[in-house]
Amino acid sequence: MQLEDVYKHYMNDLYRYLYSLSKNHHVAEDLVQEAFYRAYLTLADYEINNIKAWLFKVAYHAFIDHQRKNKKTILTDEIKENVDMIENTPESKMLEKESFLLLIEDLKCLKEIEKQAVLLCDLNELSYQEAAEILNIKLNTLKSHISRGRKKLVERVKERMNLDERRA
Amino acid sequence: MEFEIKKKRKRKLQTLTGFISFIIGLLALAVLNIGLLIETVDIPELFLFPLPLLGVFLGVVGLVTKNRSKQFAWWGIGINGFIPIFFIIMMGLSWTINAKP
Amino acid sequence: MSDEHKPDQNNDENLYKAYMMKTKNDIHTSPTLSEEEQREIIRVGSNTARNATVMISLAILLLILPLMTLITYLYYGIGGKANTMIDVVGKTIYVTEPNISLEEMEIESEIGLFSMNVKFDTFKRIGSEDYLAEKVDVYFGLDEPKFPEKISFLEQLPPMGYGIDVVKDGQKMYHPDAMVPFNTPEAWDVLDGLPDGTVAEAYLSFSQLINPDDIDAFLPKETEIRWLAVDTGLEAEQLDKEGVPITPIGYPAQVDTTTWSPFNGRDQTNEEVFLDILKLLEKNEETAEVVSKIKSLEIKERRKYVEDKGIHIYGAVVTGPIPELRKLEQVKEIRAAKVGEIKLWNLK
Repeated sequence: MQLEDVYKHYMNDLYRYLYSLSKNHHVAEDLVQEAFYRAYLTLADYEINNIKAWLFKVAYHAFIDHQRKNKKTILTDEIKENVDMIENTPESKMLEKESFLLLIEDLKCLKEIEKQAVLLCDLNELSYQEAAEILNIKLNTLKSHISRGRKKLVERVKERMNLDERRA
Repeated sequence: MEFEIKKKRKRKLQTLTGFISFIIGLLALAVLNIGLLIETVDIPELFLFPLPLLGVFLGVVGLVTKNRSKQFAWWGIGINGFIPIFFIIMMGLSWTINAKP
Repeated sequence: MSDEHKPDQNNDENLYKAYMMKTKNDIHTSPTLSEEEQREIIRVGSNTARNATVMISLAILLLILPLMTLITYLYYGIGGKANTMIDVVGKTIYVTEPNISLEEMEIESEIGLFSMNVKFDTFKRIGSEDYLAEKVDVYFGLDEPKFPEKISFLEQLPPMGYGIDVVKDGQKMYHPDAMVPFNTPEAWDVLDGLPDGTVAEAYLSFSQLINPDDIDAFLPKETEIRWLAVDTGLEAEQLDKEGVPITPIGYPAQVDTTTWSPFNGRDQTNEEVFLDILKLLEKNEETAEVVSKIKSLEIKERRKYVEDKGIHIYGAVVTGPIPELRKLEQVKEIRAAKVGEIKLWNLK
């Protein structure tokens, strides 16, 4: 029961993480399901110290596997994705300029690995060390990815601000 | 309505065919174990060929089902494939060891 | 770094922080999974995981026995390993146990996990009939044999145990240059005391080495020669190089017309088969030593001696009716004798 509570506590974090990666509610939900299945499979065997980082690692791998399996369908997914974001999500009541969706939009201009780094470290507040372990890269590599990612995001934010100012 | 259907579809991690394949494999394997333990050569043929072949078929169906974990299907195919191969190899080897016309 | 650049960088950092902060603060308005969905995910996840764990554990458990069985069969089957072992066991019996034969067709092999039992019956010819001598069960752990378990059906039980003295106790034929540890007149007394209507086997030691073909000449007509003890160079001393006692080896004197007997007389004479068997046992000497319970067979040296010098006989096992066996006392070539198994008359 205790384990369940821990899982529930992080479930929406994982869901949002997978949602920002897949940009599809159903895929994200499936992946959350898959991640928790895997978590249950392995947790019987191990004592996990840092459960949050570990869960993200499981989720990351679930996503990578999903991506590998669906290589062929990725193109069509991406075409659908814009529609998906606005219409297909059951929770489509949210505001148009909702900041989380804005972030997802902004993340599009980042490389995959930079996106991962930003999502893990900045949005989900994992340490650099933890994120590097999840992504299986060196700490320094992660740091350079994250600074590049941040720079690109700031550029986007600035652009938008300029646009707003001009509009105003 | 549509929401309900989607929900049902989504809440399965493994394919049903893969699951059944795995179960068939376990059943046939259990019978094989009993046969080996009581040292009989008289294992009902149903458990050696027809059932495992059905299991392999179901496993393959499970494999091609989209967007599900294929873990059970692989296990099903593995076990169900193993049983007839095991039996044929055993037959062949028993024949050569201490052969008498 | 220019002065202009620094505030700019700070500005960017603050901008980014604010941006992230806003996103995090607004996160509750972003898409989430409902309480029900969460419960369902947990339920399905844990159930499926439990099923998978149970089923995979079960599968692994159930695969252990078939896999070990398969490995065992592959081990014994590939390269005819088991067949060689069975062959060695049977042929060891022929050359180390006087007047003992076996039914090749009836040798059974039972393969267990990493082990094999070779089971067969041995027979002794007394008079004109074969009597069940022993039921033998040789256990092999992989290719390592254990001492055979034997159930004897003979009147004269073979010596028990495995010691040097025990081996010597069972020996009934001696080389002309060796000391005979028993009294031959006892044997004649035994034969005199037996009724005429019985048959027996007798173990004879000759006063000199003889060609196998010359033996018939001095033996009574109604007797049958069963087994010939061959001089291999070690019999005078009865010790091998290391001083370990050795016992007689030899071969059946008669052709066994059963197809599967090695001494079936089709392509080779019994002498040739004997030499072939020595070659086979040389390659499998440890197995042969354990199966025969003889500490040292010294096959290589003895085979070379026989090949160089030819086959010469110093002893023989004969069987026949008691009145015929009594005549052996008068044969001057026989210097020692011992009576073996005795049965009621079975001659026609």
